[in-house]
Amino acid sequence: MKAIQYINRTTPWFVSSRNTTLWFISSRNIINTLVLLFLLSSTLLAQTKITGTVIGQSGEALIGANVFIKDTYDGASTDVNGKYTFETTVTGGVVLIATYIGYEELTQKITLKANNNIDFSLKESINKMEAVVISAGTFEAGVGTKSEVLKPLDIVTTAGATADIAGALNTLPGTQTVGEEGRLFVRGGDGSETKTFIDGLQVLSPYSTTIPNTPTRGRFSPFMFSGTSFSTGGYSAEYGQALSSALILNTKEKSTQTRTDLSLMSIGAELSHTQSGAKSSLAVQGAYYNMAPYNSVVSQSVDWVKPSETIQANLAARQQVGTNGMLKVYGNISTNQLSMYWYDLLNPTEKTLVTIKNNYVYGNASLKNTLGDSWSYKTGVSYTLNTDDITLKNEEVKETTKGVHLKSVFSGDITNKISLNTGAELLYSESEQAYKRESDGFENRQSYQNPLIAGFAEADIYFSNNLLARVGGRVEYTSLNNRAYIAPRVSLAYKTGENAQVALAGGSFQQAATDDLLRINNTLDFEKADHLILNYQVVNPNQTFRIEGYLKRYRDLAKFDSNDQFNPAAYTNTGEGYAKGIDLFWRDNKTIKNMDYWVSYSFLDTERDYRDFPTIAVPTFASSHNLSIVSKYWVNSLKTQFSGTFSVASPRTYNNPNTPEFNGELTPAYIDLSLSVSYLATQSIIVYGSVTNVLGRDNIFGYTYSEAPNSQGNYIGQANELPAPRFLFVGVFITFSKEATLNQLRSL
Amino acid sequence: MSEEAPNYGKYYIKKQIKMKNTLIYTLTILSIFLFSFTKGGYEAAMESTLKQMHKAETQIDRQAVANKFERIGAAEKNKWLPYYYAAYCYIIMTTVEEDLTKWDSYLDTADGMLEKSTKFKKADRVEILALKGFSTMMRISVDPATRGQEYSMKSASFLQQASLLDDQNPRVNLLMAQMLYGTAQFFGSGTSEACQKFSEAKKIFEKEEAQGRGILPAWGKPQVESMLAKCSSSTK
Repeated sequence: MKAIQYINRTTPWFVSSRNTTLWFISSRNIINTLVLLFLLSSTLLAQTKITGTVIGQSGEALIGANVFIKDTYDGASTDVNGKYTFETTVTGGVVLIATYIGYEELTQKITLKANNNIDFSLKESINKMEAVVISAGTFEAGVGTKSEVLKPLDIVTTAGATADIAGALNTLPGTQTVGEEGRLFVRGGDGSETKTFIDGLQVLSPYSTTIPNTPTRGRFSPFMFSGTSFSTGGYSAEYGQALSSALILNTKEKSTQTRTDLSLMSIGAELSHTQSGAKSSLAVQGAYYNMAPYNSVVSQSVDWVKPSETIQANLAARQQVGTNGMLKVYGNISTNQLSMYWYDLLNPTEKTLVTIKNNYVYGNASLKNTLGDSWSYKTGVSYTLNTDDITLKNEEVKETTKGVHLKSVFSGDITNKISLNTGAELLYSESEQAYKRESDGFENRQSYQNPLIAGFAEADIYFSNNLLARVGGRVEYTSLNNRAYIAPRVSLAYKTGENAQVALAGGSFQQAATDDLLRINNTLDFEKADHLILNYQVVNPNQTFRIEGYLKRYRDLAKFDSNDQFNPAAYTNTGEGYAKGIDLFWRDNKTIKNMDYWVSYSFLDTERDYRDFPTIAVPTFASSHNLSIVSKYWVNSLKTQFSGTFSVASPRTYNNPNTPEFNGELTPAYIDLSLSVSYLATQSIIVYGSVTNVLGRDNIFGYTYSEAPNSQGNYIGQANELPAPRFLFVGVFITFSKEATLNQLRSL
Repeated sequence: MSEEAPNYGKYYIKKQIKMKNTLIYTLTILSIFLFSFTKGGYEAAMESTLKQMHKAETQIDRQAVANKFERIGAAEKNKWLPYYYAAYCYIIMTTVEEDLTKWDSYLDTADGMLEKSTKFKKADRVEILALKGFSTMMRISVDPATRGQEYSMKSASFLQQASLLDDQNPRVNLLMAQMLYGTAQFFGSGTSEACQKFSEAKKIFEKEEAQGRGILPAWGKPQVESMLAKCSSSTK
């Protein structure tokens, strides 16, 4: 009779046939066999009924849930009332399983009777795509991220941005239009307070070297990145040494397509080739830019001798490691040279030849892999070497900046409700300035080295799909002044509706003083800022609304006495400041067919006392009101996208040394209208044209005054303006690929 | 076959009582019979579920079929087809779903099923890659502006891999033609090349049909035919 029990216990009798038949052959007990066979045939007829209901957390019926007995085919789907019913030939103890998309699987051990009523109440699984996300302060631009606001392509197609990442991000709220700079100035922060990270690793000198009043461009092409996260405050503890803002760029994954791209532009040419293999890909790019032809056509207020000329090479390699791992290597080398005449404000007939040479090397390697099912690690290293060599008649200034960043991050789920992100970093930076004067042989060198070790840990705690807390902090230690720093960070997000949420973020942020100050005084303390941000957003598939209010307090800002600029003892960390404001964002590509537009407005109230400020004052880069309207309209019949960007910024302060009040004067308001056209000639050729400042307005960013007063005792001022009011750009982008079906930018 | 099984059983039982020495022989027959019955259990279950799949009219029907395939897959432990068909069901559910916000969760589930399916040694890599290509192609429609470039490349790369392994798979040919057709339509560059590919695919489908597929993947012929109808109506 043992055998009978065995058959009965083994759930579906036909599944375990092998064991059954073996038993038949080995046993000579006919009676048992007969009894067994009899029972076997009778069990086929004896059906046990199982019924029940499957509901969700709030008692709603789950339609289409799968309920079945483990290791058998026996089961059923729930109907519109969440009810299921099925029959089984199995008897005795079984494991009943209920599954449903988006819910956690639930199992129940039961002993079957003639009729069974088994109900299931399933819990929603934490689905990080649908769950609440930390949104305060952050604009995501990536494929598939829930909180995405800008898409990677938007960077390329935003008029006025001229395919520059910072240019496009400058149309988002929280940024200030500082038209002569081209860098990102965030929420009352200086341009140096925004730090750039590529694949989590620090990039030093991410912008190309330029002359005053000519906006710089980022060194990195937006086409390199699949995701961009631009944080205007309250960011993760993973990102350190940034006071105001973190620009986090994630490079593309392994390329799946072999292709060659050629770009011919009014300012130069780029040629790139991508070779794709089963487990690896390699992309190389070479570029040459020369502003001379453009400057010869469009008249410039700068007296160029040799307009900017750049040679650049890029390499991106990807190698799959194991099944889930990926090794990424990226390198960028460039050399740039320009020269021009500089005119002394006091003596306008005297001109000085200024030559600037810049060499730049950036390399970055990172390995990402999984550790078991729920943990992953990422480890990487980056290296930056930037040299600027500036020659003025018989003076030479050579500035060298080096940086190394080593970082390892572990992240994973401790439970399905708590995930942890933790890591350790080593950041080394050094900077040297060598000054030489030929006339009297005077030489001077100033430098600093800043080795910094840091650790961070941050936990995401999901109380439910609707409430998430991120708690963590960062510890840093630098041997520069043998000090350790602790920076706590906390964020909370609560989903108030299917697509709406409120979020609160706060924390402490710090960064080393800028190179020029640290080179003179090596022991300056870190500058600090505390952020407090309250955010509300509604993100529908094609409409986004955000409002964010913030308070920011600056502490320990570096200060010095402008009359004693080269004396280390004249430097202190007694500066301070504040910034507060409201940012508004609205994006809509639903209301008007084929039209996508967004509106950003920022209100900013800020004052600070730092550097050589004699008192607390509104810094020259801050404007109280900034408005950007960006629109893109696709005309299908013309295969063309028309794009326009309108920006207004309220007057900025500037300091007129002829008046007693520091930063007491105001510039006129800034107004710009930029337009661009992208035409998809064939599926592999795109023609692009853009022009900034169509209205031709003379935007004045401030005034530069002579270093000393003239014979009448007046400082002579000159308006800071762009070398030409407009910038025109024309380009043709061609892709060569074997697969005619797969060409680029079909989504333009 | 399964319905007749108990009767055969009883027939053999009677014989056993009369002839003791044929017991071993009988048991051997019985064991073979039981063994084949078991195999038949899987195949019969697959066949009936496939029938149910072809008859499914509502999303609830399709979900029920997907669930059934998943149950068979979970019980069998070494069969790739149940998960393959579960994935196929979710993709088909996506194609008829009007609520775009549900698409990703259906396709995520489909991809998960394909992931399970591909782990079995006997799995047909070509068929699985074709479905992966299909599911990736479907994702584009959720947000063409953002996903167009990336996902069309991904999808094409799955189909290319499949085609490298077997360029005579009708479903791979169908999906590649489909992609070509979509791209040509977008650029208004004429669909004649794509239509040519559809008729090539149709020939391969006919060959396959003549051979018979049993429970192996055989879907796609009606799709080719409806695309060819579109092709001929657009050239008129």
